Amino acid sequence: MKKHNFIIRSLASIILISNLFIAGCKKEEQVVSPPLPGNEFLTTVKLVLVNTANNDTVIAFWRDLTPEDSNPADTSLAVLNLKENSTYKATVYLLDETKTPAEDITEEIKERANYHQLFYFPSSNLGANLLVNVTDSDTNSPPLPLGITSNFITSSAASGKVNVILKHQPNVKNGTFAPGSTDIDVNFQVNISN
Amino acid sequence: MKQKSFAYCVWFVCGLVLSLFASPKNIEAQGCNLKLTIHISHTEQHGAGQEVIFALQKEQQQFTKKDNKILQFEGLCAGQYTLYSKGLYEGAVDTTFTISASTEITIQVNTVNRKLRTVEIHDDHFGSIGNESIPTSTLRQADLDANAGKPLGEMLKAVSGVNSLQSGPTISKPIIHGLHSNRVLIVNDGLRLESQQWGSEHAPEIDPFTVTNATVLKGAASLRYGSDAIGGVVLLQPHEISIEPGTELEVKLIGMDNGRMGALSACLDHTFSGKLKGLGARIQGTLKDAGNLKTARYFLQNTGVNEKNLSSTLYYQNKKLIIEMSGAVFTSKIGIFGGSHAGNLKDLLAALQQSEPILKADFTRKIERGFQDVLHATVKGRICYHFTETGKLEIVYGLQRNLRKEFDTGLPFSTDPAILAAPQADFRISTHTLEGLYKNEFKNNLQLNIGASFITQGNVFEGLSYRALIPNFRNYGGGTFIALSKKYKKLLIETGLRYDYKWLRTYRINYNTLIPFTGDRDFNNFTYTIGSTLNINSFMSLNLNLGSAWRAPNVNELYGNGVHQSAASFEIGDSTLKSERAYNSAVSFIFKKEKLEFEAGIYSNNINNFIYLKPLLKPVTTIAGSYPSFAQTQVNATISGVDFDLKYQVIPKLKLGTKISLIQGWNRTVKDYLIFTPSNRAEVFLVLEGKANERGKKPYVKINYLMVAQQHNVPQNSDYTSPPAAYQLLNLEAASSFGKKQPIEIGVSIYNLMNVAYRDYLNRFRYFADDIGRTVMLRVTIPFTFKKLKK
Repeated sequence: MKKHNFIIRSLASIILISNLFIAGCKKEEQVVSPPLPGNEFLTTVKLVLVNTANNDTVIAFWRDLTPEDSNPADTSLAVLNLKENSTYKATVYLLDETKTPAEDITEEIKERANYHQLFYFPSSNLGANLLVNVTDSDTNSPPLPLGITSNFITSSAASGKVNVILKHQPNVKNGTFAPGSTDIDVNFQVNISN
Repeated sequence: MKQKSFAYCVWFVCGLVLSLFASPKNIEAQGCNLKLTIHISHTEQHGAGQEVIFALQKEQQQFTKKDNKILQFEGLCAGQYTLYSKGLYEGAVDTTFTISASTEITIQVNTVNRKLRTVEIHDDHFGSIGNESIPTSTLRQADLDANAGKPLGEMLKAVSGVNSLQSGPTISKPIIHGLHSNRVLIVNDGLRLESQQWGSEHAPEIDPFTVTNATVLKGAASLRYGSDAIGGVVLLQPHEISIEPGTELEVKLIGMDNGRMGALSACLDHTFSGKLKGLGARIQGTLKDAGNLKTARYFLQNTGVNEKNLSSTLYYQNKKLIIEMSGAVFTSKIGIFGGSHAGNLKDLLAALQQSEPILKADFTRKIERGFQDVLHATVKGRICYHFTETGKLEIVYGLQRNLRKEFDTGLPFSTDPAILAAPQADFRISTHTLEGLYKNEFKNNLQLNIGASFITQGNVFEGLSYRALIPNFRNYGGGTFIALSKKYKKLLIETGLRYDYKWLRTYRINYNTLIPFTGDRDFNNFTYTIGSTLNINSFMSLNLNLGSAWRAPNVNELYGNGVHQSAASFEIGDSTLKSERAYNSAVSFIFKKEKLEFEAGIYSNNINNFIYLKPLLKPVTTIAGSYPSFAQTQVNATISGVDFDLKYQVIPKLKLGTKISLIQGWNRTVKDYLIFTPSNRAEVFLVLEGKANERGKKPYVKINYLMVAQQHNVPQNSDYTSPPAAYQLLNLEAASSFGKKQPIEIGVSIYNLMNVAYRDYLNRFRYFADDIGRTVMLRVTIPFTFKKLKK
């Protein structure tokens, strides 16, 4: 039986190899394949902040609808106007807006939570006037932060930026920033006023 | 061609002089007027036209004659002489005798069922037409064996003036005089290797175990193989199948402690007799597997390699005709060191701050995501007809299909399992080549070569990335050349001219509208060369070569656009690029006497419209952060340098040698250095050699000290960090043959004996990790011979 298998396999590989050459004769280069339909591209980082006191909602977008090229991104909506001394519940949505309707990639990040972490770095000119505390975690033991949901806590009026970074840390996630490589690295303008 | 295949098959066993009769004919007075006549008798005619050079030597005196059946040496003094063969058959004949009177002797050279393994095979089928005067270095079996198990690009580093461009320890490609990738042609078994050679992390798809002879032509040498080779040509050749009926099997086993690499390569040759006389067949295969490699201090995560190669050949030859059919499949899976994945510039700068990678690893053979999966299949057919002893007509057809899949570290964002298992980049290129060659030698030592070649390629890109890294394309190319060489007494003059035409159509797509469109470019130009070799006397020669070659811009330089992950750079193509034009001049001087051998060469390669990535000093921002941007730009550049090789026999059996190569790359347009020019390097070695066995192999021990300088000549603002510090490595190798009836050859090489932690300027992964540490390699070669005894 094993021998039989071997013969079948050898035959299969001969057919495969001859196919290689037959394929080589066709002018397959004339068909340019568009991006594969099932694949998703990171184009947009959407931040939704809800004020815990009055349910006021602030939404900001960082968009680059032509991924992988040198065209500049659209940052006109990447602005968060927040109130002083407030706590906002923040949620990140990672979207593929090359598709209509846009596809949500956040779910896949959640599925691979143990390989990813989102970090929030307020710029120095915001000082301690903005604190970001991550509120969700992955399924590692002990659990490590994930960062899809967080609390944005403001104090006095200030302006600056918050840097949102998604790190891809396969097998090396340890809760710190250093390991892995960067999948997302974008800045949102933050204005805190009364 | 015919004579060369004979050359493979004829075996001058060392000390093989089957009958050596010394019979005094005329008794003469003692003095320096003796005459020695040597009759060379061949049991089978070996090919005419090949130069078998015999040298007769007494102390410092040396007399050289070419094989013309009767050798006559006059004006000899009485005493002990050594007769040995030189050049092609170096080391094959070596015998000592005393003469006291004019003597006539007969040397019988037998054709036995062996190949000329120790012998440099300079088969003009693969040779350097019109380039005899170009600086050339050859690596023979012993040099290749000592580096067995390493990637091909690393093996070729044994040639002075040759470096390698590495992407980690397992991906390596040769650099000749500072030029690489598209500017260096690799010709394997007579076929120009066609794959995605533009990529610096795309290693040549060749099984190093099939190579028994590697010749490097340094300089613009593209007369025979078409345009592009403005840096040089690497000619790789397997040994040919014996014409003597019988079966031969050679098994090679390699074990390496670093990476716990194991390799098994076997080559089975059978030559038929009787009705099928002249027909030979070969089947050859290699299996190689290695896990994570270790630097001096730590393991490199995901640096395993797995290779499976298979090739077969059918070879028929009669008096005038050679027909050859061969097929080969090369497959490899190469892990890409995980620590080298930089998501953006910040990641790369952070990695530079670390003295060792954050990504820790232990030994494992498992190759994870972040790997390349490559398949290269080749089919070749060759017909060669010898209408006279020195004239031939040859036609070679080749089909190459290269499938390259690159899987990135990160899984694509998708829930579709088919997408999750798909490569980020999938290149498929098919190449057909057809070449015709006419060669003839006329009575007045004039040699003429005329050839024509045709090539067409189709390339398809698929994959997960949003836009194609390089577009789909179809190209057609044709070229024709003529080369003439004429020998005067001591002077060889050669000249040649080649014309090439190339047409390229790209198939692209507008990513917003998804409407396909095409674009055409065409290029044509001349290649020309003139050179001369002056044989000043039997041990000195002077070569001069002037050549000009060109290279059309490659499709990645024209249309490539996107992030280069391992270099964390954003590269922008330019569809209006023109062809490069190189003017290469080289002078070399060769001195070869029994105790002292040296070769010194100086070269200058002026390349106009040299295409390079110019830093734009303006970052490109994507969702993953910012990248420094580089644009394909044309400048005028000059690469010049010196190669120096010396070997001196200090005492019998002990040789001291050195190899030095100095190189400088200069951007004449902006008056600055060229980036990624190899560092200056020098090596010193000491070899202790024993007597050659009957297979011509000498047991030896070699100690080698390599010094690589820091590259200080780098342009400003074009790299993330300064070039790594100078380093020194100590390497050791030894080999010997055991057993007479059934020989076994055993070799040991220790690379980086002192386990030095170092980084090389031309390793693109030097930003992330050290180069590999101490590596001990053990090699066992067992040749089995089964032949019918002749009655």
